Amino acid sequence: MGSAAREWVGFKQFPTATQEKLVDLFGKLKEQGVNTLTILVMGKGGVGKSSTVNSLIGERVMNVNSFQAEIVRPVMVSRLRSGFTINIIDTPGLVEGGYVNYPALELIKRFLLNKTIDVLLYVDRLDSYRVDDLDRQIVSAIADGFGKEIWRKSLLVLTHAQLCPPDDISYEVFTSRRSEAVLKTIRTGACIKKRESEDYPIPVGLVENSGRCNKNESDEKVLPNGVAWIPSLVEEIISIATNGSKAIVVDQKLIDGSGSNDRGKLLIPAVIGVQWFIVELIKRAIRADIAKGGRSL
Amino acid sequence: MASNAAASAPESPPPSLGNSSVGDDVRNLVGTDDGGFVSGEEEFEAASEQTLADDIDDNTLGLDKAGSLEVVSPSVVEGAKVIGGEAPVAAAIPVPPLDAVEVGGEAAVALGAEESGKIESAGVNLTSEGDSVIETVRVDLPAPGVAVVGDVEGSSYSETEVKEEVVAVSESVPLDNEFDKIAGDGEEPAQFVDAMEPGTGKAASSVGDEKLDAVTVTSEPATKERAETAGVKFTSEGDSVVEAVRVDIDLPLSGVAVVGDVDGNAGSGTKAAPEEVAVVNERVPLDNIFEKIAGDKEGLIQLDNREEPGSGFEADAVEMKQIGGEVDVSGLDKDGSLDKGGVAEAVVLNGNQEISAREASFEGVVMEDGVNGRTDQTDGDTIGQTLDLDEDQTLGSAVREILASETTVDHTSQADEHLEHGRASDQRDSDEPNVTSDKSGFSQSFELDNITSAELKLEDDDEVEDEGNDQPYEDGDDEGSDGETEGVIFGSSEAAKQFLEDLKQGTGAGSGANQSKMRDGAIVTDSDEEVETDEDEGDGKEMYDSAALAALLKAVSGAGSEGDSVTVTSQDGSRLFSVERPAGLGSSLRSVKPSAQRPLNRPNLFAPSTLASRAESDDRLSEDEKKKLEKLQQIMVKYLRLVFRLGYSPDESIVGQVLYRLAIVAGKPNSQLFNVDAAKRTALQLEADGKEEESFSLNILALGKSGVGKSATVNAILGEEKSVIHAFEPATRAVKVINGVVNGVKISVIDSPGLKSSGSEQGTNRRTLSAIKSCMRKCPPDIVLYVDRLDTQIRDLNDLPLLRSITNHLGSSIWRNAIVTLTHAASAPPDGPSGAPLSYDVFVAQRSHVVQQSIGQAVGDLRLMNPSLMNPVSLVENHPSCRKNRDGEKVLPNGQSWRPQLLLLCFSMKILSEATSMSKPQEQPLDPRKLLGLRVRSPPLPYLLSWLLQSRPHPKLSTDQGVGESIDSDVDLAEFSDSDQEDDDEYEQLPPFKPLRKSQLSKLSKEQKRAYLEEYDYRVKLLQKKQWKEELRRLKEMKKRGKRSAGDDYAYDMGEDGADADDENGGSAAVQVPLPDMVLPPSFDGDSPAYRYRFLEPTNQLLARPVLDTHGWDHDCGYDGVNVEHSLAVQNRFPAAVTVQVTKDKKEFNLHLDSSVAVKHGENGSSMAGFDIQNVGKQLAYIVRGETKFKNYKKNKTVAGASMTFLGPNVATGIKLEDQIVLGKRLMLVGSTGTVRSQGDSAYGANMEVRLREADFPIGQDQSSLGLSLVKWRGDLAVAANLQSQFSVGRSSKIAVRAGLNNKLSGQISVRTSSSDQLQIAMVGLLPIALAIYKSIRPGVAESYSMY
Repeated sequence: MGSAAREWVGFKQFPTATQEKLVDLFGKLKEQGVNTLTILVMGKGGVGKSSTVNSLIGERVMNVNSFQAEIVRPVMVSRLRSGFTINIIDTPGLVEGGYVNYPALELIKRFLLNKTIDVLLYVDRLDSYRVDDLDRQIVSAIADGFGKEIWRKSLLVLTHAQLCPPDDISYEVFTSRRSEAVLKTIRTGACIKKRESEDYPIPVGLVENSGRCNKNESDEKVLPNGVAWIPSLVEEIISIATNGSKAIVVDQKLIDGSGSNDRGKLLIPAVIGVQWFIVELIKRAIRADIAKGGRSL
Repeated sequence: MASNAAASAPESPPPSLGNSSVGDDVRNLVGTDDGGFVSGEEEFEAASEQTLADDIDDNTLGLDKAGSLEVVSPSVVEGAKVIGGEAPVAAAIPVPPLDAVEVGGEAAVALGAEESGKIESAGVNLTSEGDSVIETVRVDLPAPGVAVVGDVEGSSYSETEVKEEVVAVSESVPLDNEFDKIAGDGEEPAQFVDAMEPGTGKAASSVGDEKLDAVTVTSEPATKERAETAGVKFTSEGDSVVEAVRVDIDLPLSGVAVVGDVDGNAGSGTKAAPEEVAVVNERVPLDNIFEKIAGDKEGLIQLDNREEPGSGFEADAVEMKQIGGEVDVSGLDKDGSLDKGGVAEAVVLNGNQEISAREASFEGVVMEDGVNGRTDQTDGDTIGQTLDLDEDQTLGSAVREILASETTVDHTSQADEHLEHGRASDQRDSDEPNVTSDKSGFSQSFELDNITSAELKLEDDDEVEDEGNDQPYEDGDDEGSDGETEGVIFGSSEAAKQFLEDLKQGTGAGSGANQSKMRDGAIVTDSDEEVETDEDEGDGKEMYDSAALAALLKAVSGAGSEGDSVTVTSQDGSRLFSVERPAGLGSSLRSVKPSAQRPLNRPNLFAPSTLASRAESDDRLSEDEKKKLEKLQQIMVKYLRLVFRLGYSPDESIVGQVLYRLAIVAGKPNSQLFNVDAAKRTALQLEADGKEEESFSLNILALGKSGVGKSATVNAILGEEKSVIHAFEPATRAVKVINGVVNGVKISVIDSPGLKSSGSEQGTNRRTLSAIKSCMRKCPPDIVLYVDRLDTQIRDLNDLPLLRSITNHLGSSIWRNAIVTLTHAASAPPDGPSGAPLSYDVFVAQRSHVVQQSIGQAVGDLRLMNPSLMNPVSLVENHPSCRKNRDGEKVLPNGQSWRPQLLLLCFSMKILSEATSMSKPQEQPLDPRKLLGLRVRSPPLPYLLSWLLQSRPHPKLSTDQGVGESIDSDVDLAEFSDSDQEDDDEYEQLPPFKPLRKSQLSKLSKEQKRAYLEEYDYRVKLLQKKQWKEELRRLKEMKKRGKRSAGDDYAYDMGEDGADADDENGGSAAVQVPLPDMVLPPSFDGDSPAYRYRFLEPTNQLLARPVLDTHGWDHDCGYDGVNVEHSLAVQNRFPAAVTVQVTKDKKEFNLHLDSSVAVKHGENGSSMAGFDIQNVGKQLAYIVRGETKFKNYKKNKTVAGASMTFLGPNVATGIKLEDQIVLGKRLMLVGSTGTVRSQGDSAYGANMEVRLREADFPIGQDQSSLGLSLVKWRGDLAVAANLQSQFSVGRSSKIAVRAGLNNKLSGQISVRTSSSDQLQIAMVGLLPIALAIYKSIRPGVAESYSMY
């Protein structure tokens, strides 16, 4: 779906201030020669992936339903505006019945054949208070499925960002602590070393998709810290897209499994030769033994 | 109560209950369709004339038996007695449906037929639902008329006969009305008659108050008994509350029936008059009860009926019958479907006793119903007015009181009301609507009612027992209870409907059972016969209790959409108390409708009139009962104090329900010992005094995922920050018990660390749960709070692994007292599919639903089908900036302050469990879930049978080892002795022979080769034979020697024998043999380790071998067990052998122990005893067996054996007989047969086998056998035949063929060829290789993704 990019009509429904900012950002991208942006949205179920896609596109492209999992296969939404194409791929939740849903991951990979991913949005909720092993497993699965490099092109999105922090913690402190907890899990799950994480830090974007989101005087949706989050998020996305790391090209090789290890393939004939040699030696020794007339057992 | 039986409605199978709507039930009850039941209309007319037989053709109640009828009279009389305080409560109504049910509608309520002959209670028509609608109660008694409800004494009968019957019958519904009317006073027979005109049962309805009175009375217009159906009150809903059925039965009265039968004479009178129309009573109550249920009124009534198969209800029913047949046992029939128009099912009371007993019970019921008077239900037609059961009203007492009360006026008025309602008869058709409306009206109410009725019934049963119903109580009770259980549905109106259905089912079942009981059993003629409904009731009650409890709580906390209210109306029809179903979450504070002038406390209802009865009833209480009531009173006071402390009033819905329930448990609504009003006063006073309540404590366990807010909730409950919370990391790391005092109540909370919800981390959960479990032992929780967030995604059952862990480690009983606590309850609902935010209630409801679904799936019960199994839900909000109300308590978006509600819910649950445990101290609360079909597994008898029939060799002493010596030997040593010499000689005689070498062999020509090989084989064979015989001879020698040197040779230790014995022993023992061949894998797989473990078996007496499981998974090495064998001689005389095999793989641990010890009896006999331990299913089975084998006739061996298996709580015993005949050297026939029995279930089996061997066995290994085995179990016959044959083909090949077939036409054939020569066979292996190559070459093989 989404092969033919449609006109980005939803853009118009953004408040003017947002539109201006977005135009600005996309303009910069175009100057750099980039006129396509492919964003992959992944995360466990019920965190707000489809809602975020809807918010970014400005239209209700994805069905959002609290009561049942709407999306069962990946969907790509493409919009075209002034020569700039934005593709956002929404995916099914990666957790099923308490376990990581590997078949869903396979499905996503196959869907992405021959596409290039510029940015990965890893979505989770700001108002979850725990990170557990399941999150780590999801990150691991993504790293295994797409290669560890995808995490260099990734952005952490925390939804339900309009919340009142508990325990008298300030909003900033709360968001930073929550982000840090999730990022730590990502680093563990994707085996990202400290050095690497410093070179390629994963930015955090806060998102509030509900209709009750507060608005500022320019009618932009704002977070409790005053930031209009749509332009802010798009800015982060673009910065990731242009951060210099290679975009992830999903080709057949990737799909078949990045597990194949080509290391040392060339050594195989050599090893066979050595084995043959050793076997010969042993045979010779046995024959010598027989010749000596050893007693039969 | 035969009559009851008769009256009982046909036991329709529960299903009817379940499926039919109330309306149907009613209809059924009314028997509109059935042939039997006259919906009053027809019946009525014919009542007198027509032979009941007509009506009853299909399902005549066993009324045919005079027995039943006879009961009527006496029961009626009794009923009357009850009513009068001493007269048995005519509440016999109960069950007519039940009984009637049998009739399938025509409960020919043989009301009092006995005496006067047959009272054909055509009146009692058991609707197909099982309601027994007393269609026509034809009383042949002198005063036929009576049949009916409130049958009257015989004499009056005649007169009333026509009328009565008419009247009576007509209605099943009308009965209700009639009762009402009767309540008025039985004076106006005329009216009654009119009323009766049923034709349409409506008559009754039409009969105004008077009718009712008339009814009762009319039955005896002549007789002047006024059957005051004081008791019977038909609430407008059609509940008939038998308020006071006073039947002045001086006459033999048949009729009295009525609920609350006639006082005094009535009883006696009725005796004479077969027509005791206890029916009336029945009916009345029935209706009411039913109505109540209706929503499930029907159900209600049915409940009663059901319950009481033994209980008075039946009696009542019977009595009802009497009334001229048209005893509508309002749907109370088993089916619980209310008769429409309150068929006087119950009416048919056989004999008074039943009535009395019933009445008692019925009274309870009636009263309740009446009291509750679903006033909401304005439709009069509800079938038989359901008796709103008052909380604590037992039917009996209710009726009694009713009867006792002289407030006929009241009754009248009420009767009016009731009549209105009870106009079931009139509008039988419209019953449905009534019902439905009723239903909606008070889904809850009837739920309550149901509970109450169920309770009542149960209670009644108890009471009844006291009074001595001896109705054989069928398991209908259980069913009933089930029904009740199911019936108790709180929730929205759907729940009501469901409840009704359930009720029907339950009642149907129950009533059916009861009915049959009734039918089969003799109609109790004496009210004082014991009814052993105890157990049943007990069970039922149990179930009821737990279910009702659950339902009660659910109702309270259910997210109902409307505020249904349960109203308990007083006799006057005014509401006594109203419990309204909470709208939205939690219970809303609704006050009792002002119309209820009467205090909540029902006792007042009966106060004036019931002094006598009460006194009587009190007197009748045993010490235990009194104590129990006192305790309950204390509990109630305690509870009310807590309620006041929390700031709620007793009008709060949940409070009301708890009180209601307590009343039911008490069983006596108004007694000096147990009195709600008094409790309230006391409580208020104590609170004012500020006296400390010492004895209330509460233990709570908080359980849930990590980070959901357990500790915060604990802090909030206790009011102080006692538990550490942390926003980002798990803060609670250990299970802690936190104590605090809240509102004067000592609360101990077990705070637990968060559990992990991901599937792979359930191992850590195990540790946490074990810690929780040990903490639970020290501090057993009364309430379990399962905490989760309201605002997490509400799709996907991602918590299932977690819930399963909880259920597995803590037991599924933990969910019985669990409250689903949703935190973050003040969060804004998400956007719905339309884009607009959901409404808060919908949001909560959906989230709760998902949680319940998950829990249901984890536990494995059908809670979504049976709302009574669902857990109550409460909401919590712990955010510091949550909105607060004026009192400083946090409030939710729906305006409720959550903390007091949660506390109230906890207290209520605790109180209820205390009360129920008190009432049934020794019984464990039945888990209603258990009733859903999880039975105790019966042992797998066919397996045990086959184990028993196995032919086992008896252990042998070393000296007896060897062929031919022991009794087991197949080979007769003697035979060999003769041919010994010859063969030896033969061998000796062979010319010398030199085997060729391979190189030489290849040089020979084909024929030469063949000749050579033949010769070679022949020689080998001869040599082997010779060796074999040598062996035998040696053994014989050994044996002889053994006998000579008695002691030594028995030493089992090989090699320890004397030197001379050494050679012999050594010969056989010293040769080490390789490990017996295990099944080697088909191909040499480097991964398969089977080839590794081959070794030489030692010759010790103790052998240990590894056990190979070739079907291990995961490329396991396959060796997961050890097999140890040991042979020994016990006391040097008795050979014994023990084999133990222990296997453990990743999941299971299996133990198999086989031990046996044998003793010889001379040459030809041997006995063996053995003990085995095996895994059967998931449990260990211990098998003790013994057998004796002896040889008779030299060629024939017989074995007889027995075994006993202990599997869990079951014990299975078996015996077997086996015989073996050897014919010639080659043929053997074996036959064995046996049976295994356990818990009334038994399996029979037989095996037959024919074995054919080649002459040179064991040298040549060719043999064939054909076997046949039969197993018969539970009516299922399984026949299997198998054929095995093994023979050699050529020199070096063997073929083994096996074929098996069983009577299910499944079987298998296998052919195994092994050859050491024809290696060409291996070429077959190339086939799969070729296929693989072909597949890979040919493209286009579709890849199939494993789509999820």
